[in-house]
Amino acid sequence: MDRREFLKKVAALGLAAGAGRWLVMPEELWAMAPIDKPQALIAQAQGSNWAQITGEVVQKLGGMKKFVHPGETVVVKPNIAWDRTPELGANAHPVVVRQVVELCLEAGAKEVKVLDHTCDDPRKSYISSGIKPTVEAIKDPRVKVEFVDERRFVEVRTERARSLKKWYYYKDILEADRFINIPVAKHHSEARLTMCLKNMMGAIGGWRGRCHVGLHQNIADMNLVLRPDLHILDCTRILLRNGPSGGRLEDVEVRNLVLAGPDPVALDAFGATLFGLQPGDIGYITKAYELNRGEMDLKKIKFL
Amino acid sequence: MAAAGFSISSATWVRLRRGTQIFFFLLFVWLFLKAEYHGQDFLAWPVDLFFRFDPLILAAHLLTRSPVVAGLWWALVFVALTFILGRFFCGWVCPLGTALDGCRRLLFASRPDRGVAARWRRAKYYILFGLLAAAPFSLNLVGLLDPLSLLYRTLAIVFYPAFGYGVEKAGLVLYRLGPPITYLSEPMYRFIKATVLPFRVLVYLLPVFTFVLFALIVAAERVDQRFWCRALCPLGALYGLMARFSLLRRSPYALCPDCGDCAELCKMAAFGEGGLRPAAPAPSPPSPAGDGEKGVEGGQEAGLPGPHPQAKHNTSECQLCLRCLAECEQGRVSFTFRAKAGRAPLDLGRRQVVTSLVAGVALVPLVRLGSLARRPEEYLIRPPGAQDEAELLSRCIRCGQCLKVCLTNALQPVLWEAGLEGLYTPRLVPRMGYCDYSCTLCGQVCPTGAIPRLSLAEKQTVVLGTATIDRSRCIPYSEGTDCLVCEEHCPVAPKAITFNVAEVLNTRGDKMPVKLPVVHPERCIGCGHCEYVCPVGGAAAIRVKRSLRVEI
Repeated sequence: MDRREFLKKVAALGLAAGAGRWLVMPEELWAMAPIDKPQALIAQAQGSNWAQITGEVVQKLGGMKKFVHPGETVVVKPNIAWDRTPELGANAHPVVVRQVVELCLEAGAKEVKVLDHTCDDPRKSYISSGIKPTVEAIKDPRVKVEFVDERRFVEVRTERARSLKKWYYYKDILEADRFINIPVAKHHSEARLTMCLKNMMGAIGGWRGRCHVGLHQNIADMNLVLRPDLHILDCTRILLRNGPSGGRLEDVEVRNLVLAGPDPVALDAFGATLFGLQPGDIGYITKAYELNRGEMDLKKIKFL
Repeated sequence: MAAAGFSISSATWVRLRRGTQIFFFLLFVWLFLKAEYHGQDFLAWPVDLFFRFDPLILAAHLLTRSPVVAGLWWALVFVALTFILGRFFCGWVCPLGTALDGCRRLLFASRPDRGVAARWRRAKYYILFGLLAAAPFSLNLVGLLDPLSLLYRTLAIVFYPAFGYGVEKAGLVLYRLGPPITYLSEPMYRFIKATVLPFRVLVYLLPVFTFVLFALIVAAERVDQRFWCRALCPLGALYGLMARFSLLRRSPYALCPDCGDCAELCKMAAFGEGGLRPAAPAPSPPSPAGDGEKGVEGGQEAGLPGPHPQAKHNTSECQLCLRCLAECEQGRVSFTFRAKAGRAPLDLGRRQVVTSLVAGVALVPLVRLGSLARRPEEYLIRPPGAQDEAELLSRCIRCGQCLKVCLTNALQPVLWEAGLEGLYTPRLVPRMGYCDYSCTLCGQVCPTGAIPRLSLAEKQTVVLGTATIDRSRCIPYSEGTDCLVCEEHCPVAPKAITFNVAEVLNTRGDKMPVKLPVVHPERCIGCGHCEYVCPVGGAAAIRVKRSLRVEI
């Protein structure tokens, strides 16, 4: 093949590929999430075997089969934000995450991706949090513990949002059939507490520091786009002070508790009481309630 | 024909030499790539290997009377080998020499030697003497001209980031095009990403300046091959001084009276200026590219003046490329340990040697006067453990390994912020990256201990500087709304940044209770994570400065 011929072939291939792109590629369709308020339901389980209580809360909600159907792709988004070891309570506990991933696999998921857009270096956080080694120890080819790929943040406009009208969201999460949120309940100076709603900060891209002006409204707004099917609120140990990154054992209190449910506002509202706060004390809970994202009145929440 | 005892053919020797060159070059690049965090807190590969075998770095390190670093003694192995074999390092090992050979073959047509490098050959010795004469006064500039440092730093600052950026950009463009292009492009991108690309796009200051310096060295190849090695390289000069006493000698020790091809072939002009024939006044026809030898033969037939019959082989210049061995048609050339013939003089000139030594000493005040006049710049933050400015400057060899290995791309080369002496020394630029709380990589790669090898516990208490808040730019202070991103990211426990709640007028004139961040200087370690994440555009509203805790 001489150079001329080679160039011709490359051009022809390129044209074919370009034409193919026009023919094949549909508009990007994300799983259209329901806009209704989710059911105000909280399942709770207590015990020192954290894997077991994680299984119990999911069972109380009707089992993972209710949330994940065979052949579906699932994104599991634990809090892996910080380069801290599990006992420091800055990240979701690896045992809880592993249990959730295993339940998804049992339910017949085609693929389970575990990821988070970290605050510290992702390579460090994924390892120190124990989540990467623990989840990869399942040794199932359907499980992928991935770093986020900056290219995959796509701009999404939200008309119903009050301040965060457009921002960058992670494509894999938007496109996944199922989305499971695993936050850890902990102290956070600016937001006061971080639980289900705030954990969605790890599913967005862009210059995230810039979301912190008007943080509470922004958190509520991003939860209009990001609608996990299931939230597992890890309260096995909670970080009482010096959050969200922590770093001292004396700030951590072991509670041996796992909460789960489909309504992030309800979970956060109840979670606040673990820290001796009322749901109304936390700006983003109120703002998310106002956006009809869930129920914050503890009396209207059904506990299992 | 090789010395007695060697039974391989002479052409094989040349192939062996080329193979060795490529091996060491690839090893250099491989170790370069391995100087990255791969999920282990300690690097698996001895990434500073080449620098441990560098006698120039060892010599300067000893002359500055820095505490001895055990790893540097490996250089004595190459010193011993040089006393036996000669300046083999330059022809067989040096990755910069290999890079220059490669660039020359790619970029320039081969041409007869112009003799410029031969006339300048003494310059490298004077540079060496000058650099070493300054070292006892703790002015250690060898790293600026050491070929290994120079190549490593150029790879780190220019070529690797350029390559990485190019691939990332291409990957992004193809990714945006979507399928079916991504069916092909994504596996390729992922493969490159997994093998040679850095975890994230690396960017460094001074890319153009660094590139121009390297490009000049490559361009000098057009003047004469291996111009850098023959005329400027101080490491080459140091090996040359030792190679003068090498046991392995070429036979015949001088050019044959009936031939002069060796002098023509020799890319180091080891037969000196006398061995080089003056260039043909009007060669007709001009020798075609890549066919220089035939052109030379043609010149000989035309009856040009022959070489100086007494031109002796100079072991200080010979880098044992063995081309004369392979090309000699009569099979006269051999390299042997048994030659007793006299050696070509080094011929440096006592006066010039003294001048270069004095110039090196005189350089000490000249280089320093400017920086002595002022304290180190306020924002000059050094890597962990390298807070003693004088100690860092006398030990740093400007190799750029710390820049390459830095987890967050925070370490950047210094231009003039630390005085003339500080060129290419590392500094932390928190707006580009921060000093990761659980990382000790820079201390692991530093071959001279300029950045000490600290345990994680030690490193976490080292103070690089202190964060200070610019209240006129900080959002809570100036706009009356909450922010606290700096506080959130502070890795110290308890946090070195906390907040006070106070009423501040917001932009509408309402009094608002706002969380105002404050730094606790006694807890702050100056890692710069707060400055890195500060959402204020341009310069951050919280910046790390050299503080009282750094300089007493």
